[in-house]
Amino acid sequence: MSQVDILQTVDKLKRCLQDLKGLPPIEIKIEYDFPEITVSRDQVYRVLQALKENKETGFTFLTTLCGIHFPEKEGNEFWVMYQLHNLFTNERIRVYSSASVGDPVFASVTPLWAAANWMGGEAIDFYGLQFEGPPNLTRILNADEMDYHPMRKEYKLEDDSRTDKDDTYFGR
Amino acid sequence: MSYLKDKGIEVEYKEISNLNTLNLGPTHPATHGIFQNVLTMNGEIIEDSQQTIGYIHRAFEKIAERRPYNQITVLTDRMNYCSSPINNLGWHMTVEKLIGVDIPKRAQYLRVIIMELARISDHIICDSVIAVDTGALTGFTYLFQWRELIYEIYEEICGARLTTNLGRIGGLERDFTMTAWKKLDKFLKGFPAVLEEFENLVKRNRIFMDRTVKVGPISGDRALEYGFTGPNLRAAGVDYDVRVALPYSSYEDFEFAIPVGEHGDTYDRFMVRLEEMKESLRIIQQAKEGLPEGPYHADVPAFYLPPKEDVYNNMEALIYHFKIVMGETDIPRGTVYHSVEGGNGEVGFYLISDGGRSPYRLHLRRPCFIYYQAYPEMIKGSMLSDAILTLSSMNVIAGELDA
Amino acid sequence: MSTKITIDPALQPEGFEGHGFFATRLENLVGMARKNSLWPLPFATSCCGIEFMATMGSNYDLARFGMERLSFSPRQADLLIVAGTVAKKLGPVLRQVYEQMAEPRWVIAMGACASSGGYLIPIPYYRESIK
Repeated sequence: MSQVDILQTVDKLKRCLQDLKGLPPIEIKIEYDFPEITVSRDQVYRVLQALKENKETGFTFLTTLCGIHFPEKEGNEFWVMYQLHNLFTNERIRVYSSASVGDPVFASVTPLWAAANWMGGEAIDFYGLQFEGPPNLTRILNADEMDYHPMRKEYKLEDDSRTDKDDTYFGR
Repeated sequence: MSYLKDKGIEVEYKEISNLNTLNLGPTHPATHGIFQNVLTMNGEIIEDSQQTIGYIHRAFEKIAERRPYNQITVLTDRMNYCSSPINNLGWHMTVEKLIGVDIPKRAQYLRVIIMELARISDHIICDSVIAVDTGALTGFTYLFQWRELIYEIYEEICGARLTTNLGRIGGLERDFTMTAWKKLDKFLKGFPAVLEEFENLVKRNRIFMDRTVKVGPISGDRALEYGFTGPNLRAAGVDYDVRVALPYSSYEDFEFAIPVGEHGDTYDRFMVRLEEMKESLRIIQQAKEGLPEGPYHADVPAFYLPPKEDVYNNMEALIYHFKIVMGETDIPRGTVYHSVEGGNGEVGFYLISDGGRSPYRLHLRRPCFIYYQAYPEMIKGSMLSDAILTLSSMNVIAGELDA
Repeated sequence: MSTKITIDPALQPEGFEGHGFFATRLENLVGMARKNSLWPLPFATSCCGIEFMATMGSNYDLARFGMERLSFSPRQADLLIVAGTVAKKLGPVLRQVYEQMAEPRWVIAMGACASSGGYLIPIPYYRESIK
């Protein structure tokens, strides 16, 4: 996508967000070839629904959804990224939303896109996020008996139980 | 019944459930991979299905958070192992987008040739397995000879057959050798005839059509809801192809058609893949004929390994070599998403870089993982044998499903 | 007219050979039969499964070893080919398949993931599963 196209997308986004009542102003950033917006988690379902149903934006396709963990951002440790795609004009945007580590609950977007079911399941499995609303999502990829969420940054990839490799000489 | 009633005998009828549970997988030979489906059957009709996945989950996203960028290629190999070069080059393109490198035209064309070969090898597996599941083993033996030739071409290019680890950040590790071109010519000359033979074997075969037409259908709208991409979405009648929609690696230079199905059933999925192989052959032919002269990699010494003689004789090259191998090269901060059209659909890489030696977060958009959740809906109300065919026509690759 | 049966000397078990007969111990004979018609069970989980398919295919022709009868039921299989990654979730499944096989049974761990953990060795989770 060229720079001009992105600015057009941004304009459309602005118009779409203005139509929503009671929404605090949202800053639109451009990161490489993607416009990005950050929405508070109690508004994110509404915003996504508007982006999907608005004729002008028409982001009808959910490309992907994933969780992100930023342990240093206090109060906003867990982030969820929704990436939307308009298949007619090939515009794409990213929507972020965040929650704190104590209460990582987001609204489930499965009513909007059936595909969000397992994508959300992955976020639950990896980060221990929770998605409110139907259907009930549980751990899907890892074994059921696992009692932690492995993608959180506090879990190192290599723990101390490994004995066959000595990394001290390589400064890692 | 009325006989008993006439005699004045009162009979109390009890509702007996005819449903029984059937466990399909995790190691069922017909599922071609490790995933479990617990089916609720009413006679031979499937009423419901419960899926369990994650049997070969290998935590690629976690491993990637500790690996330097050039070592993550190895992980992408093992996602869709039927067409690993597409994943490899998709990852390289993501990193190139992050660091802002322009790839020379020749390298882009060579990449296109490799990716289309990979697409053919992916579709060969899927199509011949559909034929095997309907009882036609012959097609499998015909096509696999030519799939071996694709592997031989890979061997000439990168030295490996299956998990290729092909390409480097900034281009390819080497230009095509004469042997590679010769083998490619042999492939382009011989494969269309074999493909036609295979097509004639199954395309209008009565048994094959009875088994596949209107089996496991999904409508275009529902497919989009479920996030389908690739041949499965196109079989449902939606002409979304990343190669055309958001061209990468000079795909806009080539002329090719997007085959589209109508009903989204097993037959359409089979035919879309068959036609795509022909289109891929056309792309390879065009890329070969229009191949520009020039270098096969970009001039990015900080990311591209220098030639070995320079490493031994040149101080700078040695330093670069050391830094690349140890993964100590600086990478800009930023967030990128890049997607390529894989064998099964849009393979996406969502990468957050914090400037460190490895990604802060790498999310892999795996098409299989997303569309496999539609499987219970697709097989509901169909026979058990049709469920097997639906699964093989969806081409669910366990490595991509679980990552 | 007497027909001479020749046995490949490399495969021939120890025994007494005479004119028109060959005597050996029954278990040697059974062993020879087993060696030349193994029924493998491909436990194909990931990438190596595709390579196993290539082995089955026309170029490499598994039938040369009398192995073309793939037994997808563990009960009739002699040889379990573990082709690909075995994660912790799959461990119990693999054990169950192995225990269902009839004696004598053999196992081949195909590829780096199955035999040593390969590129996955840094994950403690994975190491638990291969133990």
